[in-house]
Amino acid sequence: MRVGVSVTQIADEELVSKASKGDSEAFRQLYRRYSSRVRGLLYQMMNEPDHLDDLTQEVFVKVFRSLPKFRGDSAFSTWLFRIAVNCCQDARRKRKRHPQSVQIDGLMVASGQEDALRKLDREELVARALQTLKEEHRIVIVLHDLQDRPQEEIAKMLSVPVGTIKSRLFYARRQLREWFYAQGIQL
Amino acid sequence: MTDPLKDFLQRNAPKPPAGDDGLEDRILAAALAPKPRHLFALEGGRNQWLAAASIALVLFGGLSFLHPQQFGSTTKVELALDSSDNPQVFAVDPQTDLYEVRF
Repeated sequence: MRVGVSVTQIADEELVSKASKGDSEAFRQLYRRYSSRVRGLLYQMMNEPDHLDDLTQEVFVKVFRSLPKFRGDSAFSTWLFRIAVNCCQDARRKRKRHPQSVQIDGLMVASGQEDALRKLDREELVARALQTLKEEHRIVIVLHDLQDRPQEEIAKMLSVPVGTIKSRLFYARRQLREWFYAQGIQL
Repeated sequence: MTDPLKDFLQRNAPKPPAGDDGLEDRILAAALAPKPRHLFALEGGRNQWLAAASIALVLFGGLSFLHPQQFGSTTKVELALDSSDNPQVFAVDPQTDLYEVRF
């Protein structure tokens, strides 16, 4: 006998509507739905595990407080990621004003240090590679190649033309390929 | 066709560490807490007020420098604050006139 199981998932729009009226349970559901993706984005952008919880909090508090202003012109997830990207940019600016010690030794690895690099696992390698990119390129690579967001959506998030996204993607990928090639990985 | 670079990045994407226990509740509590308001955060925004006050001080300082004999201890700067969109700042010299700066 086949038993049909239907899982009803409340649409984002409904949760957003409730949360914007102060329904904390609706906001909790939105948080649970998106927190891991947002944390992934923040981590890949910033590579700062010690500040990740604080940054996550900053993003979701901003989201919750801005919900009444959300007009629904774009998908909730697009709007949420845009806020997350803005928080990353703000955090970077603050770090520039108050520089802190970097957790990993130099981001670019000089020749002769390949042996040390080989000991790192590949996640660490990707994290390092991302940090070699200019911020505007890293955002596009993280959103498009790691978070799998379509180019049109990224263009909306960053308020730039789709052509700009394509161009940044092209240059960022070329730089990454060259960086990986220098580490002995041909992609 | 899958791009080898994209495929490599996705397979080896840096994974964020798990959040602290209670992070969800902490975030919810912070989100629901009343938003802190600055003492001078009126409708026009505090930056507007800070800019207004700064300009008034610069104006007053400049006038004092140019005409030191006219600005004795009786000269005062009066900040006229209101909650409209156009905050006003007055530099008042009782011996001459009212200097008004509008934003």
